[in-house]
Parts: sequence; structure tokens; C-alpha cells
Amino acid sequence: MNKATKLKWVIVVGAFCLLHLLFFTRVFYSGGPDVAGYYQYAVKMDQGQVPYRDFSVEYPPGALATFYLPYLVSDNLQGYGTAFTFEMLLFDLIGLLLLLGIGRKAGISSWSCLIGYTLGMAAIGSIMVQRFDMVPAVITLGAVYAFSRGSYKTAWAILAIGTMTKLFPGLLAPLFLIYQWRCGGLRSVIPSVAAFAAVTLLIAVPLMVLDRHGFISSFTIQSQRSLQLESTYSSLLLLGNSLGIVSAYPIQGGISYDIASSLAGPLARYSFVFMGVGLLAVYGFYYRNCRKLAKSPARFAPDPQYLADLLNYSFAVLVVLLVTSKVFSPQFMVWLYPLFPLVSGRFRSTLWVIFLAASCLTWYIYPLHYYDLVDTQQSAVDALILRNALMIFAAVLLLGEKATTAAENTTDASLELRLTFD
Amino acid sequence: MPNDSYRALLYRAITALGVVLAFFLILVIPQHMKENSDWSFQYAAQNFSQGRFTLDGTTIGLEAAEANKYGGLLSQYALVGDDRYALTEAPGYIFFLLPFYYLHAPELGNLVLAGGMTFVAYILFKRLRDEKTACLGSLLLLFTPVTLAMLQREYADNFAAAAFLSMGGGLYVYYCLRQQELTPRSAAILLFLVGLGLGWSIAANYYNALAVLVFMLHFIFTSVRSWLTGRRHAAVRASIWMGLGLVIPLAGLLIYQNAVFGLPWRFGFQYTQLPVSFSMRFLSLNIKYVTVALLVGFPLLLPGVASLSAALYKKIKAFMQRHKHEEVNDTWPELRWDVLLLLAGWIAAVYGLYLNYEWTGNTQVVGMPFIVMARYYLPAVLPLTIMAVLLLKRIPRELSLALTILAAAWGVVFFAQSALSYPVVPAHSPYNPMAGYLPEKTNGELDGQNVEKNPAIETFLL
Repeated sequence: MNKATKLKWVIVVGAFCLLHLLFFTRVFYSGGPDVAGYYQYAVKMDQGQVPYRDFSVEYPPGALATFYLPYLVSDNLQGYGTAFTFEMLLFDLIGLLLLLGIGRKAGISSWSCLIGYTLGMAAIGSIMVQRFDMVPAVITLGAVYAFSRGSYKTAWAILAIGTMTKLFPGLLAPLFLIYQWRCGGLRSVIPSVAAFAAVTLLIAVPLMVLDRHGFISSFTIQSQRSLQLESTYSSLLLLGNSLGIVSAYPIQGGISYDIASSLAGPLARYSFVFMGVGLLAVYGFYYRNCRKLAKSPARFAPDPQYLADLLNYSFAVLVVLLVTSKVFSPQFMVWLYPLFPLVSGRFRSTLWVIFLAASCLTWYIYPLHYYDLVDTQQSAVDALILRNALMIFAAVLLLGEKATTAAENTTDASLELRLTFD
Repeated sequence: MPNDSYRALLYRAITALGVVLAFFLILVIPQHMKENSDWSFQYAAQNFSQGRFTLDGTTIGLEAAEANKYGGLLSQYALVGDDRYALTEAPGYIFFLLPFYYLHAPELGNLVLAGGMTFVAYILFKRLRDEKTACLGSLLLLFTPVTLAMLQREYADNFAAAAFLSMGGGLYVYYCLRQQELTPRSAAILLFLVGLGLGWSIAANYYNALAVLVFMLHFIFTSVRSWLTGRRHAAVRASIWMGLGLVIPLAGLLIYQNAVFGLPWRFGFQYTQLPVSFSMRFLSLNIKYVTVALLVGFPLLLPGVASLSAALYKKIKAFMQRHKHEEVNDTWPELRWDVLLLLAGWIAAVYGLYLNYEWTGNTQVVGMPFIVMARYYLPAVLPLTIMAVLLLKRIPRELSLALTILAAAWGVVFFAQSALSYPVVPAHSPYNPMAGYLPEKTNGELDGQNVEKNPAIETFLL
């Protein structure tokens, strides 16, 4: 890359960063009840109270660090809200840079990455600055970035930090494991897994010593929840309700609005089975996909083709998790946000449209029409059914997807359109 | 080849089976009077069948009270003169429905139109690509949730107005594509049917006039081009046959308007008190309220719009290359420039109009089922399906198959949801679009002595 090209890209990336800054500070509504909750945790920590022991927390320890950082900037709620917005913006911009790095390695056009990332941000909306989910999402991307460079131990260590912030990044571990195992055998996996375990223990042990039950319950609390109103299962029940097949109505649960129905209990119980089967299917497909790897010599970093496959399956893991989980909160769309511009293959355009449409529908449901949904008004219920149907469709497409190699990948949006439609 | 004819037969059989299945679905699921327009058209059919185009206050009062007793309102009837009440909607559908009404089978009206629409779609898709596309396209058209839902509602005029436009418009596109191969006689018959379909679509719904205007502009443009290229006889003949087809329903409409409103140029909407105007200030509200309803009601909307954008992009790109004397690579050969613009204009005429509609930009529609808002966009279902199906033929086979299955299943499920969710919104609900027009109390009595006290009747007597 010559100097002029470098300068061009610096200007382009700078312009996109400014666009993100504009959205985060001028378009999105910051604050809200969750940020106020984060602020309360930060106040307690500042008073010297120890999380899990002195006050109960429903988030893993990594999240608490995220909550405390903005408090260092401002100790009043309004200032805290602004600082929290900038914290999320910082992670968002780190994500953008990581995305460009991974995209270059996987042969995905930088324009495509920048446009996709920005469209995703605009489609997801204000929830980006009202929840902390951007942090684990970008940490996950960081792990993928390190993996794409062949720094496997670093990748696993970052993944451990992500898992200690919110559990979902841990679901990418089997993909890393499969790749390394197929590539370099069992021996090559051990140091990486050890790095993951070491970082996890480093974070977890002190807190477990302080209060084992409180710490463990911060992870298990989600599993005890009922069928949340926006979950796939709930939308099926609401559809059944509108067809007169089954009775279902929203109720206020302990953490969120849930669905009350004779089928809600069994579905909540068996959702783990569906989730397990779904995730195993993705891992199985990835394992099958990596079979060719065994014949290849161990390499420093994944080939663009294998990296593209890994990116597709990473996205697939998260999509399958969302559609099979009994909880599908609006902020979960943020988990997919940094990975979706990296999806490649035949169905790429379709997956982009699906993700963007699903994100807009999520915004439509929460916060715009949430109480219409609670009131089971038909348009809000239909929006939820449509969003979840799109997500299921995306999961099905991803399982049938074949990632494209660097050479096959596109260089700009128009060329991609041409390849799709020619 | 025998193999080809066997396949053609197979695709036709599948299409016929699909049509039978659709008819079975709409007949087997119980039909309910959903909205006030259904009630108004039911009473209009009854009144027209007795030769009464206008009613006096007492008669409309009794009918309104009867409708009110069963949860309906005759909101599409309005005072048009001294003690004279008339239907404010275009009467074309009622006149079409009358023979079936006399046969005590009004549901056949829509079924006949659905058969005609599917047939036109089939021959058009076949001409555009092949028999397989024709089967796929005509079934996707029929299994669109809004198509099925409105097909079932035998007294609502939306399906008929859309079907007349689709038949007229579809045959016109078919004519444009086959113009060079047609004999003068076939062309004349085809153009007469085009004119009849387009004209009747206006007689069934005044607002279809905008879409028909797009066809007229295309027709005038191509006729002038024919005239200038020396094919003057063909241009004159085409204009005569098309004009003849158009004149029959439109003359009927003008005669009706003269009889009911006193002047041929006066029409029902001039008397209505319902919020049925159009203004750009409703655009953002409509986008806010209607988008989800459209996505649910027309699962092919997104692929259709994506396809239209891609086709226009490709055409423009090929056009620009022509000026650069480079190799022209038009990847949408099925659609000539003029046909593509015609389809785009058709879609724009419907969406551009109704996205500015006052009634659907009203806060009272928030939370309503998709069909209440999406049904207005039904007249654009054929061009959207054409574009979507042409896209489906260009994407990987697995994706195309998955999208087709999803769209068809979506159609059945959401048709069922629309049909089974009854009542749509209780009359007393603040979300009822007519809530502002509802009387505070209703006694529902049909007793003549109560007529003066019945609020529903008082609404009309005011």
C-alpha cells in the first residue's frame, strides 16, 4: 500500500468514525433504566462494597469493570450516562478497526466492512448506548482478530475475558478448538486452552473466594428465567394465540416481560435441548468443513478461506443461540453487529438484508412499540413474529452457506451486487 | 418435445392444484365481516340488487341500525342530497358482484376474479421466462397473505379492484412483450380486454386511476413511436380497441354518477366525512405505521424492491456503457427498458399514493392487524411479484427454494391469522379506526319506534 492509498484510507476511516460519533452522541438516546442500574453498581463499588458479597449482581465480573469506568469520569448520573455513551463509542470504534483488520485478512473488502458496520449501527439504534453489550461483542471480535493473526493463546485469553463479561463469547471456543485440533492436533490445543483457563481462573477465583454463591448465581440467573416475551418460542405461542390454537399472554416476570401459556413451561425447560442441538449442529458442520485441514500442514495463521469459514460459523453460532434461547432481549442484536459485515458466501446479500431488517424490527419492537406488544396488539406481535422468522431463516441459510475465498470475495458493494445478479 | 410438453402439463397441474388449495382455504376458514367497508358493500349489494342506488333517511337508518346490531357500521354511505344517501365508494365491484348475488353465491365473485388474475399472471410469467417461472410466480401471487385475506372477504372491494388492475395491467405487459408476434385480431382482442380491465379497475376503486394513468402514458408513448416509425394503422387500431375497452366501464361509471350525484363528474368521495384525503404530511406517519404491516402482508416486498433496484441499476449501467461504445451487457433481458419503467411506475403509483393516505397515517391504526393497512397496497402485488420472481430465478437454487417455501407458508399462516382474529378490533376499542365516529351508546334495536333514538341512525339523520 503506497502513501497516497494509506492517506486515502485514513481519511475514509476517519470519516466513518465521525459518522459513528455523530450517531452515538446526536442520534441515539442515551441513559435509561439499565444505565441507571449500572450507575448504582458503580456507586456501591466506589463506596467500597464488594460485588457478589455485599450486594447481588446479575452480571459477570467483566461487566462490572465496564460499569465502573464511566464513574471515574463523572459521579453524577447524567455525567455517568454521557461517559457511558463515550465508553460504548470507544468500543465501537475499536470494533471498526478490528473489523478492517480481520476483513483484510479474510479478503473481504474494506468498503464492505465499513458500510456494513455503519448500516448495522444505524439499524440497531439507541440500544447500543443503553446497554453494555457492545463490550463483550467487541471483545469477541478481538479474540477473532487475534485468531486470524495466528496468536492463538492471545485469542483464547481474550475469549476468556469476553466470557467473564457475558457468557456468549465462550460459545466460539469450540470453533477455535476444532480448527486448532484439525490443524495441529491435540497438542497444539493445550496451551490455548490453558491460557483460557488461566485467565478465567484469574478473574473468577478471587471473587469465588469472596462469595462463591453470589458469583456463580451471576452466571446461572439467566438460566432460571421463564420464557421471555421476545423469544422465538414466545413468538410461536403468540402466533398460535392469534390463530386460536393456544392461549398465550404476556406477564411481568422477575427480570423482564415473559409469556404465560400452558406450553411456556415445557418450552422453557426444553429450550436448552433445542439450543444444545442447534449449537451441536453448527459445531458439527464446522467440524465437517475442517476435515480437509487435517491433510494440510500446521500453519501460523488461518488461510483466508478457513478464516472466512470461521467467521461464518462464528456468526452462525450466535444466530442459532439467539433463535433457540428462551431469552431474546433487544440488546442481543449487538452481539451479531461486529460479525455480520464479515459474513461471506453466496447468501451474503440476503444475510445482510435479513440482519438489517431484523435489527430495524427489533428497534420497532423495543422501545418504540413494546407496550403494544405487552398489550398483544396485532401489529407489534406480527413484527415480533417477522423478526424471529427472519432470524430462523438466517440460521438455516448460514448452515447451508459456503464461505468464499479471498479471490472470490468482492471489492465493493456494486461489484457484489453484480456478482449476485449476473 | 414430449418431455417439454410433459413438464408444461406438470407445471400447469401444480398451478391448478395451488389455485384449488387457495380456494379451499378461503372457503373452509369461516368468513367474518371485518371492517365497516364490508358492511357497507354488503348493504350496497342488497340495495343495488333491488335497483336502489340512493336511499332515504329512514331506510338507511334501519339498515344502519341492523348493521350496528351485529357490530358493523355503514360508514361508506353518506348524505348526497335532500334526504338521499348513497355509497361513497366506486360502484364497479357491486355491479360485478350482482349476478353472483342473485345466485346467492357472492363468494364466487372474487373466486372468478382470482382465477382470471392467476391465468393472466401465468401467461405473463411464461412469456417473461418459462413455464416453471409461471407456476412459481402465479402461485406466489395467489399465496400472498393480503391476496388470500382479501380474496376471502366477499364484500370488500379491494381484491376485485386489484384483480381488475392486475388483469388489465398484466395483459398490457403481455401485449407489449408479444406485440410483434400477434395477429391484428389477437392484438385487438387483447387490447380490448386490457382497456376493459383497466377501466373496470377505476370503476371499482377511484384511486386506481393513478396506476391506469401510468399505463396510458406508456401506451401513448409507444403509439406515438409507432406513428413516427410509419406503423400508423397499427397505432390507430390499437388506440381504438384499447379506447373501446376503457369506455365501457368508464361510461357506466359516469352514468351512475350522473344518476346518483346529479353530475357525471361528481363522485362519492366528495361527500364522505371519513379521513380519506392524501397529503405529503402523512408520509412519515404512514412509513411509521404501515411498514410492518406491508412486510407481513407482502413477504415478497423486500425481494421485489431489491430486484427492481438491481434491474434499474443494471439497465442504467448498460445504457451508460452504450454511450462509451463498450460491450453492452444487459443482464435483465426479459425486461425491456420501457417494460421495466412501466412496472416501476405501476408500483410507484400505488405505493406513492397510499403512503400519503390520511386514514392509514392516523394514530388510530396503531396496533391494528396488518390487513387493515396493507390491503390498500394490493393493486401493486403483480408487478412486485414479477420483480421478486425474476430475482428468485437469479439467486442460488437453495435460497430460491427456501424463500419460495417460506413465502408460501407465510401466506397461509398470516391469511389464517387475519381470517381467524375476529373481531378485528372491538367496536368500543380506542384502537378502532372508527372510534371517533362511533356513537356513545347503541341499543341495537330494529324496532321502528326506536329509530329516532338509535344513535347509529341519528348519525345519519344529522
